[in-house]
Formats: sequence, C-alpha cells, structure tokens
Amino acid sequence: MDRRTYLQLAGVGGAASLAGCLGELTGGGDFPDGTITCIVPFDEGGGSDVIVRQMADPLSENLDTNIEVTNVPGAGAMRGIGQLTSEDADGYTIGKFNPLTTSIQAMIEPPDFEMTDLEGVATIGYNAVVVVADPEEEVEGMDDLIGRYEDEEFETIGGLGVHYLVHASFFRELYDMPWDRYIQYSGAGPINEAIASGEVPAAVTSDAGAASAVESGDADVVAVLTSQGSEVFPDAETVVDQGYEEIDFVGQVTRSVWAPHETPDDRIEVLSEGLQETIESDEMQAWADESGNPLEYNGPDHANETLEEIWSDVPELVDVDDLRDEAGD
Amino acid sequence: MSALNALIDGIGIALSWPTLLWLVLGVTLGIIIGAIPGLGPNLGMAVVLPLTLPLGGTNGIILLVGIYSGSMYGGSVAAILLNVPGTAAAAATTFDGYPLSRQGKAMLALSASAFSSATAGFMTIVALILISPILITVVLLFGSPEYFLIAILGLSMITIVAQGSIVKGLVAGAFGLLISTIGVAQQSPEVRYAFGYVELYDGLDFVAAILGIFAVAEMLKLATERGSIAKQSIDASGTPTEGVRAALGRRVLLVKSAFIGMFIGSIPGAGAAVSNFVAYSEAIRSSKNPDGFGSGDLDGVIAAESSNNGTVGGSLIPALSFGIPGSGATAVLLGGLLMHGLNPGPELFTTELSFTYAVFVSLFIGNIIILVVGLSLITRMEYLTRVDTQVLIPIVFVLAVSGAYILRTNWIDVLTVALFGIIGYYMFAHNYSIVAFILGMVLGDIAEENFLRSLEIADGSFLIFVGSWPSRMLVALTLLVLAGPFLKSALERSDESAG
Repeated sequence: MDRRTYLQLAGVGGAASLAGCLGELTGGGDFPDGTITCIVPFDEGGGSDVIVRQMADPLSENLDTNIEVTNVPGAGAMRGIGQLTSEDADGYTIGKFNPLTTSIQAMIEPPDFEMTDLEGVATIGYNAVVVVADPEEEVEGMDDLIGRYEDEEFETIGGLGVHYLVHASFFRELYDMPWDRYIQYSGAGPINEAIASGEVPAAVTSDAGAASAVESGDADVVAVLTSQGSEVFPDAETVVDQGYEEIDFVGQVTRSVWAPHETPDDRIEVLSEGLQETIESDEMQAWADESGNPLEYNGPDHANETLEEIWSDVPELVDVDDLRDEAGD
Repeated sequence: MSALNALIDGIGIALSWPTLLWLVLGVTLGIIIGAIPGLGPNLGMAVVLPLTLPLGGTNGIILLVGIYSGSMYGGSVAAILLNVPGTAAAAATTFDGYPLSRQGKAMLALSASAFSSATAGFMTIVALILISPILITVVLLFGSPEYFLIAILGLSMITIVAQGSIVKGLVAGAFGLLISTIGVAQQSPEVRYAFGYVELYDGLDFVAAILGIFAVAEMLKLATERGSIAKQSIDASGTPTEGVRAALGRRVLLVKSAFIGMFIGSIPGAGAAVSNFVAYSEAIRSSKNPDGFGSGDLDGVIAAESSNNGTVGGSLIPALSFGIPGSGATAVLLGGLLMHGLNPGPELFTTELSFTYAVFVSLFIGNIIILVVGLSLITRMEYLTRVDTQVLIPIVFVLAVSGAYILRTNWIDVLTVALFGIIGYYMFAHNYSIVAFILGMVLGDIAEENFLRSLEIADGSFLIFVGSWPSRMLVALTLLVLAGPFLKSALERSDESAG
C-alpha cells in the first residue's frame, strides 16, 4: 500500500470512528442496531420470566432488533439487579422487576449499589397485594380480622418471605392490628396451602398468587391493599373502602422495566415507546386477559416516581432495623 | 363431570393428533437434554417455554411434562456410561451403574434402567390417577412440621448408607449440612459464609457440587489409567432383554423404589435429587448383600432409576394442587401453566379434571416412549465406554464446567465443580460416604426452613412435632431407622443364644 492510499484509508477510518464516537455520545440515531439483553433477576418460569419471554418476540419486532432474555437469579434479585447497574448505560441492557419487593430486600440487606440510581423505562402493569384468610374462620373484613388479633384468637400472620413483613408491620403501625408472629413462606403456592390447611389464619399475598385458592373456596379475600382495587378480584373491597388509611405505595406490585444509571434519555424513550406498542398490542392484551397478568403501560416518569416513593415512605413509616430484627426472630 | 368421564376425556385428548406428536417430541427431547450433563430439565423446559405458546394450553403443557419425564430417564445414560449424572436425579445411578460399565456390562445397566424407569412411571401415574379424588385432602395433612420430620427421616438414612465407618458417614453428612448453610439463612435475612460475595447469597448449587463430585472426581481418577472406561480385558456382554429380565426379577425393589420416589417427589423442595438417594439407601438396608453396593450391584441401578421416574408423578401433586414447585423443573412447569392461563390449584382436580387427566395419561404414554427408545437406541450408546479416556476426559470436563456455568450463569458454580471434584476424589479414596454428604446438603435447607417456621407457628413449643398423626408416624419411622442396626444385632444375638 502506498503512502497516499494509506492516508486516504486512515482518513476514512478516522472519520468513521469519529462518527461512531459522536453517535455514542449523542445517543445515536440508529438505536437500537444490535441485540438488547433483558435481565430477569429471577428463575426461569417465575412470574417476571413468563411475562418477559412473552413480550420478547413482539418487542423484537417493534424495536426491529433481537431481544435476548437472560435469567440472573439469586440473592433476592440483588445479583441480577447488581449486574444491570454495572452494565454500560447504552440502552442495550435492560432489566425487568418490581420495585417494591426488590427495594425491601435491598433495605433489609443493603447491596453495594444504589437501587434509586436505576433509570425507569416503563411500568407495564401491576398486581394488587391482598389479605386473605382461612374460609373456615369466616373473617368479615379488616375490622373483624383486627378484632380477632386483639382478642388473641389469632396470633400469627403469613406472608411471602421478608418482603410482605413490611405490609404486616404497616397493619400493626397504622391499623392497630396486634399480630404476634409473622410466618414467612417461600411463595404464593405455600401460602395458599398454609391458609387452606389452617396453618396460619390470614396472610398477605398477591392477587394473582391467591387467585386459584380463592376460586376453589380455599381462601377468602379480606381486603385489597391498593385503593385502585384488584383486576383479579374486581368485587373485593379495598382497605380504603373499609375506612382505613391508603397505603398504595406498598399496596401493589408494579411490574417495571429499568435501565442502568445515566442511560441517555432518547434511548430510554425509544425503548419505552417500543414497550408501549408491545403492551398495548391486541396480542399481548389477549394474553394478559387469558393468563390473569393485567398489563398496562405507563412511561419512565411513573416508574421513577414509584421507586422514589417506596424509598422515601417505607423507611419513614417502618424502622428498617426493627424490620430486620423482626425477620430474624 | 364424574372422574370416570374426565378420565375418558383425558385419554381422548392425550391420544389425539397432534397432542401425541408433541408428547413424542417432548419425551425424545427430554432424553437428549437429560443425557447432557448440566443441561437438565429446568433449562430445557425454560428454553421451550415461550415456544409452547402457539400450541395452546394442553399441547404446550404436555410437551413440557414430556421433556420433564424424558429427562429423568435420560440422566441415567451418562451416569451409567461415564459416571457423569446427566441430572441430579441420576446421581445415585452412578454408584452401581458406572461400575457395571467398567465391567463391560453397560448394556445390562442401560436396559435395566430403561425398563425400571418406564415401569415406575406407569405404576406411579396409575396411582396418581387413582388417588386424585382425595389428593387435596392428603396434601393438606402435610404442613411445615411434617415437612421437617420428612427431612429428618431422610437424614436418618445416613446411618444406613454409611457403609464401613459410621463416624465417616456422620462426618460426611455433617459436612453436607454445613455446606447447606452457606448463603442467606432460610427464615431470617442473615447472610452466612458469603464473605461479601452476592454470588454466594443463595449458597452453593447442589447440581454443580454433584457434577464436581461425580464427573470431575472420576475423570481425575481415570486420568491415572490408560485405555477406555470398560476395561479392555473384559468382553462386552449382555443384551437389552437381559436387563429387562433382571429388573423383572426384582419386582419388590422396583415397586418400593417407585413409590419412595413418588412420596418424596410430593414434598416441596425435595424432588428427584433426594428420592434417588433415599431409594438407594433403602435398597441397601433391605438387601441381603449390602456390601455388594457400590461395586456394580444391579439393585442399585434399579432402585435409583425407578425412584426418579416415580418422582415425576409425585412432584405434580403439590405443583398442580397448590402451585408449589417440588423442584426446579416443576417451577418451570408452573410457569407454563400460568403462561397458558391455567391456574394451578384445587380446580385442576374439579372443573379442569379432564385436562389434568390428559397430562397424567400423556405421562403414561411417555413412559412407553422411554421404554422403546431406551431399549432400542440408548443401549447402543454402550460404545462410549470403549472410547479412549484421552478423548473422553476433556469432553467431560468441558461439559461439566459449561453445564455448571449455565445453571445460574454464576461463576461460583464453576468453582464449585472444581472444588468438589477434588473433595469428591479424596472422599472416594478415603471411603467417606457420598450419599451421606448429598443427603445432608439437600435436606439441610428443607429441614432448617420448616423447623424454624414450625417453632414460630407454635410459639417455640416442640410439641408441634408430635401434634398430628402423620407427624407422630414420621417420628416413629425415624426412631425405627435410627434404632434399626441395634435392634437387628440384638435380634441376631437372641437368635444365637436361643440356637
């Protein structure tokens, strides 16, 4: 190669590299032009995984790129979220998890990253948190349930892991429900069995998780914790309907999509629009109806607000150290 | 709809086209997935999960249970031929299956495995169909205290399997229990022995440990030898029919192991990873020649293989009745049910009974496929035992390491394989019971979680562990297992003095 040709090629290469760099700095006009990885910080087959895998194909079509689902389970989702926070903030890695249970996990066992640094991409639906009771106990609403704890007829209350201990603690702090012992279960299935067998008289769980037990008459819904009500149990009364203080920020599990800190706004916008188109498509809505996973799109601001509210309100109302001690009892 | 009508409907669905095609595909895929170390049913089913969507609920779920059932059998292939359990469910199969391969009797072991797997599948599915009307009542008899006691019963089996030195057996079991304490504690947010690594928060993966203990340790041992796995001085012997005849001659063992598998499968968290060891331990306990185990006793292969396929039916009990996953594979299956809008719960045994029976009948037919494929095609893989170890060792190492990594995409699992490869090598060399170690490692979590929860429910009272008749029965059974060796020798002494 002679010197002239070399310089020409170097010039072209340099210009191309510079254009590439500029593209990176400004967010790029052709985003996305490569595979987008979606981290699911839970096991295959779980609620989050099922939804993401369901969305992957239509989202690929809408964004005109390939969506790869990666499960990084462990440490109560902290391993997967930790991985997401350490990825390049270029929009090519996103994660799907609800901010409520993961934040409670992070409050009790602080990881080496800040959950609040995450950038919201969208919220894609929610499940209400509900209180269920053993039908044989014939509990008539929250007043009756609280009365049974006051009379010491009931002593224990069940819930999912340490996460729903926050709700039980709110019951004690805000609703004067003097339960004595919180019993942890590892999933919605074991909670249903515990309620059906009478191992615990009442429990905090998700509406989708309790659906089968309620349908078969093995559990009764006492109250829905979000004032928005439950799509799974549209006839069930909320705590607000029953005259209790609103606790919406923990009353629902908001399914959300996140990106690493400082991901450019224009890329978040592209991703968010792709998600909106996917979530609102007839195909996904039909699946949502059929599978009992209500899907509803809201933009990045809604996701960020939900996360901020959890981190500001939960520690204000419940002492995290007490929570940690209670969980360890 | 009566149960009989639902069953007839279920049979109709299972035999209809293209449902049957998806079943055949699922079982065949399952056998292949099960045979590849580290892949296992969890990952195989998870990958297929979104692809089942266009198939609709029934066909999609039947494809998934086909993979689950096929992989239970498939796991035995590499276990017998290479000492590499394809799945955790086939770990106990290595104890006698692999020595049989070393003796040139791989064909015998493979055919006996196929026959016992399929037969156990047939029996337990029929039992499942028969008990389905009262299934929910039975499930509700078992709560946290009973699950704890079942774990303790499993741990008490250590006294049986610790052949030779009981102290070494207890040390191995205690080591397994200690390993199970790594990570976040079961009922409190306390992190134990994680040294600040998030990767250790969920503890060491049991499957990675098994890959190390069996596959890597055996390859280290083989590296000191020349030639192939089947010793060249021995001629290959046996035909598939010989294995079938041998299994038929051990009917009691087969039936007993199948139902041990079914019972353990129905305990949340235990699954086939535990059942094959418990069935193997029971086979040793009831054998007239317990010393022959571990050196190529076909009883060991039959016990392990009939139990793991029996587990499939058992694990569907908590999964379908209350949505409780008994194992990783049933967790993915539950995901499949939810994805197809089928809520696991008591309704599956009332209004949705036809669907549930269709799944059961498909499992039954799936076992016919296992039998045909197992006897006609898999037995030919005996050839692998004649491949030079210089070729096999690197292949198995790569499979074990990559298999461990894809378990949870966690590098700790790769280190676990390496670490337990070395530990396993020395445990074998110094006769520390591997079964005792594995029982400790798997049952530790279940015992801890249910023990603490039971005490919390009872406000610290230990009486909760004798509060129901199933728990009293389990306590009696555990005491019997623990006192068994003493009672046996006392009886023998009284016989001698009487004689």
